[in-house]
Amino acid sequence: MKIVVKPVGYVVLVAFCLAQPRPASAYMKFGVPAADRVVTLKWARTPVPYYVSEGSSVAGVSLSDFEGAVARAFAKWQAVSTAAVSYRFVGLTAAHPGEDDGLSTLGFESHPEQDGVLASTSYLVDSVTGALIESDIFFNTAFAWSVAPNGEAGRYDLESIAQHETGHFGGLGHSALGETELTPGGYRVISAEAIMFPIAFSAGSVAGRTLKADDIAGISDIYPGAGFAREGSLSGRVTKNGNPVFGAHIVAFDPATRALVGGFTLTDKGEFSIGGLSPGPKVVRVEPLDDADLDSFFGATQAVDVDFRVLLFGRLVVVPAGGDSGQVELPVVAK
Amino acid sequence: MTGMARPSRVLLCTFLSLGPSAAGARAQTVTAASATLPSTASQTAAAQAASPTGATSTGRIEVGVGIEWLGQTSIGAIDATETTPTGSPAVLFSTSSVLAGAVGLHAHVGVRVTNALEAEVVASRAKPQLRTTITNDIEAMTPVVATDDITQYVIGGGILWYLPFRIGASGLLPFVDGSAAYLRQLHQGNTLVDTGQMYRVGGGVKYFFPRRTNAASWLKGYGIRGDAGLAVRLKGVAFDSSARYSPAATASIFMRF
Repeated sequence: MKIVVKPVGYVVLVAFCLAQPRPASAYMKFGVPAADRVVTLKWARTPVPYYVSEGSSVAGVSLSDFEGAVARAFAKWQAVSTAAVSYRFVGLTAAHPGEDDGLSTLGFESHPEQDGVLASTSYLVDSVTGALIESDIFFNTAFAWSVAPNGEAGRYDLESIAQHETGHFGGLGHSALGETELTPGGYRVISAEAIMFPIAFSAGSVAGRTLKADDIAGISDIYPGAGFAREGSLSGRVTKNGNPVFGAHIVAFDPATRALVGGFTLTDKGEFSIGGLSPGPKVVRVEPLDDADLDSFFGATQAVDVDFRVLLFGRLVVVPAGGDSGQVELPVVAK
Repeated sequence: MTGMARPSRVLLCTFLSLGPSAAGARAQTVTAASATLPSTASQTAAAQAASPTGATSTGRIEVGVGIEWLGQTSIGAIDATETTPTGSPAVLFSTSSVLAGAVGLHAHVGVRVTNALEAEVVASRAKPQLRTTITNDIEAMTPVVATDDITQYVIGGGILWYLPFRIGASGLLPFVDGSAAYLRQLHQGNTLVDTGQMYRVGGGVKYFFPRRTNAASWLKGYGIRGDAGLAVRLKGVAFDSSARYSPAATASIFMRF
């Protein structure tokens, strides 16, 4: 039996984060139910084959432009030195993204009804084993696209958006490392430090082409490669008045590398664990999830606590090489 | 250290010619120096006349313990930034870090190489605190100081050269010294080690207590020592590769054998 996991879009995200029995490491990984347990969503074998839908061209983006942008996006994930994941372009297909055919297909699709979704990734998962069978990505032709090297005013950069969606394709969920402001049209990104932030930079920007420390930690955690064993983790729990806080966003900043890597409290005990951190002392910051819709990160039934003030922890938390910091208690206070 | 070693050859000759009043063995050395450096012989005689009883010649090995103070040093100011749509950075919060000053334990063992020069092994242990002040957070108004307790070990070698005069009637023996050492810093909980080097240059004085007539024959002398200088740290606890400078001072008691 197979189940189709709902799509993960960009700009306006479909709620998606299945309950996990343990804290995920950093950023957010997806957990999928398999029989009586939850397993991390990931490809069992690499290189992961993918196809491009034959009709993948729009004004300003030819089919070969599309292939090139997608290939560059995959190549950047593949180039992460601490991760062991690779992708292989098989060829063109007449199939469309979203068809349950066992082929991972990327292409343009017309979805004018989804006027807040630039692109979306969906998965086909074996519900017995939890194995990832197929992942498709559609890019919405309701928007104007560009592959210009320096971007194009009024058009979304295909490579930047593909960079985000191919992160989902690899199994990554969303990161909350970003700041936004609420405008009449929705959230506007002021800044972000993760490709996997759920809201895209404005049209014309090409800033989303470069992977950040949070993205690298995330993909390395799912597909640990050479050198990842030396990375450490930071774990603990967030409490408010002694009670656990669910859905708090924890950020670890390394002054030596300038890397920002985030994670969430994901258990009913308020526990978190951020993996893929370089050894060294970290500045720890805890904030409520108030820069994007909560359903970009959690399911509608999950009670995320956003009623607390930002905490700058008064201790530098030391992450050892290849080990864990030990449990750190982060007490926040209500607003 | 190279800088110290190079002039020491010249200074050694100077000492031989200006050394304090000496026991027989040193007199022979002076004589030998005088033979090859006749131009300094007259200075030797003048210095001997002006100096109190020489102390550096008492014993060949010196062992000392005491306390050491290392001053605060900046580790660097670094911003946590995010990327804006134009690609420029936006500050999430700012950090400024220091390794705070600390007092620790100090030990040294010196071996007299010549009357003017001693080779030393130096070691110290201190517990400085790494302090990072977090300011300008985009959402948190109040600055916070986050800390990490460091346990620091230093072990290395150095040289000490006695200046060719004494200070006043007290018999204080001035010297200059320098050392190069291995630096090992353990973070809180001993979960992580940072290593580096520490170089130190400075000077100080020694005071020899008058020797009691009934003192054990193996104890050639004892006294107190104080010195101050500049410590230069490379690597270790740091957020960049810059050299870190701080004042340093040591006070110790010593015995000579």
